[in-house]
Amino acid sequence: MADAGSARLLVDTVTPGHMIPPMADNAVEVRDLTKAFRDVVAVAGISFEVKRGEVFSLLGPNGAGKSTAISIISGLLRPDSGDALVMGHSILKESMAARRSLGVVPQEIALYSDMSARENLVFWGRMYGLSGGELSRRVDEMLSAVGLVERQKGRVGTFSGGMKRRVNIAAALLHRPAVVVMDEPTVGIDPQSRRHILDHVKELNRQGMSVLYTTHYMEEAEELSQRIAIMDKGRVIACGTRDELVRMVGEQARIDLTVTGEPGKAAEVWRTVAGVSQTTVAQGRVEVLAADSDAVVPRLFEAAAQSDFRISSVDIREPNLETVFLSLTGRALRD
Amino acid sequence: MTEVYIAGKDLRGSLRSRFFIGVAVLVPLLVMSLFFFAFGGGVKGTGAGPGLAPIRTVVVDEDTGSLQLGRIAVSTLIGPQLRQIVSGTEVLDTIQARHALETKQADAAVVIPAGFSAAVTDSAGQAEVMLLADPVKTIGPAVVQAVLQRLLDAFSGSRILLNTYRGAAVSAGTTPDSNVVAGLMEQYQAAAQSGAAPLTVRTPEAGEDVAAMLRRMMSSIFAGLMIFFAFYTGAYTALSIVREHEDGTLARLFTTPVGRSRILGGKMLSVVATVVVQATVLVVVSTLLFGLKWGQAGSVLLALVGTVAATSGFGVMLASFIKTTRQGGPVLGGGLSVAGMLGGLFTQAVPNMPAAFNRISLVLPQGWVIRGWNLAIAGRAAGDMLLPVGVMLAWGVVCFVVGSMVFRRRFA
Repeated sequence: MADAGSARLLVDTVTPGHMIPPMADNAVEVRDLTKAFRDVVAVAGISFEVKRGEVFSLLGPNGAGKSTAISIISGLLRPDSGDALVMGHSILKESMAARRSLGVVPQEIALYSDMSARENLVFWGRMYGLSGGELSRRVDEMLSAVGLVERQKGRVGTFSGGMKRRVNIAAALLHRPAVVVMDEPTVGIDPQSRRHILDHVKELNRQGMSVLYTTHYMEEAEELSQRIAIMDKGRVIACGTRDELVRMVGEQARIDLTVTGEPGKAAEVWRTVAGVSQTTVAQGRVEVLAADSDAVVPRLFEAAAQSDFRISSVDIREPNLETVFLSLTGRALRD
Repeated sequence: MTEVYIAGKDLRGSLRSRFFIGVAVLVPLLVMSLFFFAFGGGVKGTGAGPGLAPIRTVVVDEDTGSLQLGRIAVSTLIGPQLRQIVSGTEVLDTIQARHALETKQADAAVVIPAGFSAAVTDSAGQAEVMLLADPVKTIGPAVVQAVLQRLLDAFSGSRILLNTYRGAAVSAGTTPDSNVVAGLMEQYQAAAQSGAAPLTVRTPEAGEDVAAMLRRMMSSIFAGLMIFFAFYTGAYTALSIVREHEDGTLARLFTTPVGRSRILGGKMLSVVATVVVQATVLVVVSTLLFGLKWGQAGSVLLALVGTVAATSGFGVMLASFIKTTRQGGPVLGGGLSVAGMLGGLFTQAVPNMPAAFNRISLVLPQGWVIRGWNLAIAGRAAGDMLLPVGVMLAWGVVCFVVGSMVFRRRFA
């Protein structure tokens, strides 16, 4: 964990105009992508777009088709049908231009362990067409941004997992891509390194970079994304902002209350409160369902004060993406 | 230019790898060193004397007949004619000879049995000379055996002469004159001892000394070693494509704005560069350390070019059929060893190999590469190298194309 304390946010010096060509309406547009591996359909006609300057997450359980979709957009796999545009460039017809606009952070560490951090960045920078003074300057900037200036000559194979992750991300940002694609970058790492990566993503987005992020962690998608596409069995089953998704399935907040007195009587009183759609008693507590918990909770206290019981504890469970996924598929995200 | 960066990255990785340096450079040099010392470590001689240390030989002459033909054998083995090869000493009996072998004072012992002269001159006689050898030594006793064989062949010739005389006498109705027999043998003995001996030590080519012959043989052996390890290096380096695939770096390369053909081209360029470095280092170091002579500069250059093409192409093709690096070890080790054996890389110094071996080697790139190097080592001009080098290049191109197609299909 020695590296965790020295990690910094990725503070880049990019010019927004360079990152986002004015011609492209969307950073990424995915149109009816389909990909099958023999009899297994990994991606079944998905469509979505990533707006310029937003963090867009593909959320779904393992095997949902997220990585296949990312692989097609990154140019690793050729779709059976459909197309994707990256900054207006078709991945099929203008693949080189599309790739120049992309920075891909693979799920696994994809670095040369026998080379130093600096040598790795120099090599990957060259692959993106950087050279000479510009390459050297960008490598210095990225080493500084990921807090590895002092370890730049150390072989990557000797680095901790968190340090490798940082080099892995830095290698994708050297050429100032307009779009960063991150494929489950927090899988299998410690909480501190995970926190750093999430902060990196936010910082990149703050600088105006578009981020296409895949995860099966609901919390990450909720924290990072302006919009989310939920994938299951190769299909996008829902897409929108978090609130839109929650509203889409009509989920309500569940308010669990413990009262001094008779729970059944409290449930009867609260059933008539405006905004409450349902009350039940279970295990000595009252469960209240309401669309707008912020408005309803004060009314519940008011009703209790006017009656002969008092509220001793309140637990509000807002609807989240987990419940959305559950509603849409009948399964939990981590099933 | 991107291809050069990829190749440079791979080459640098190879040169940093202790495993690679060990297998590609140190092991062939170590094996060559063992050969070098087995041959006495002296092939750096320039013609003044042989590089091979003289074979210590003790000789026992138990032949007490009147003709004393055994003395011819003794004088041949301990005489000045063979002093560059055989350091002969006469001892009294077989016991002393065995003792000399057991105490490592001699590498071989020759026993001329009692009645040797009689057996030679008797038309029905059996002349048996015994050769005792230190079981650890192989080359020295084999040389002494060859010398003795030549000597006994000469004695057989003289016996044919005597039999002819005897036959003529019988046909003429007379009895062979024992004095004539003795006279013929005395003349033979005199002729042998005066320098017209039945045994003549000749170097393979006029004007070439033993050191040069040994040097050429060593060069040929080392060429076989070098070629074997060059094929291994080619395949091992090409296997880095599979290694990068497993490590995820190949997939990452495919996400960069560099075409797949250029990426695979860079990987193949790295194979070529690595084999060039390896072969050049081995040729230069073996020349400096062991005094090996590889031939005329133009011929060596052509052989080098052909070797690089054939080994790189073959390596790429072989690696393209390997799915995982775990498969790589046995496939490379086993496949290349068999191909090397059938291609004749390890049997260069073995005379009179079965013709089938030669025919098989014609359908393997290894066979043509070693042919090319042997021509260069023999001092042949560049013009004589065109056929084997052309075949090497053809092998290289065909294998490259096959390997590239397989890789492209796999990573398409």
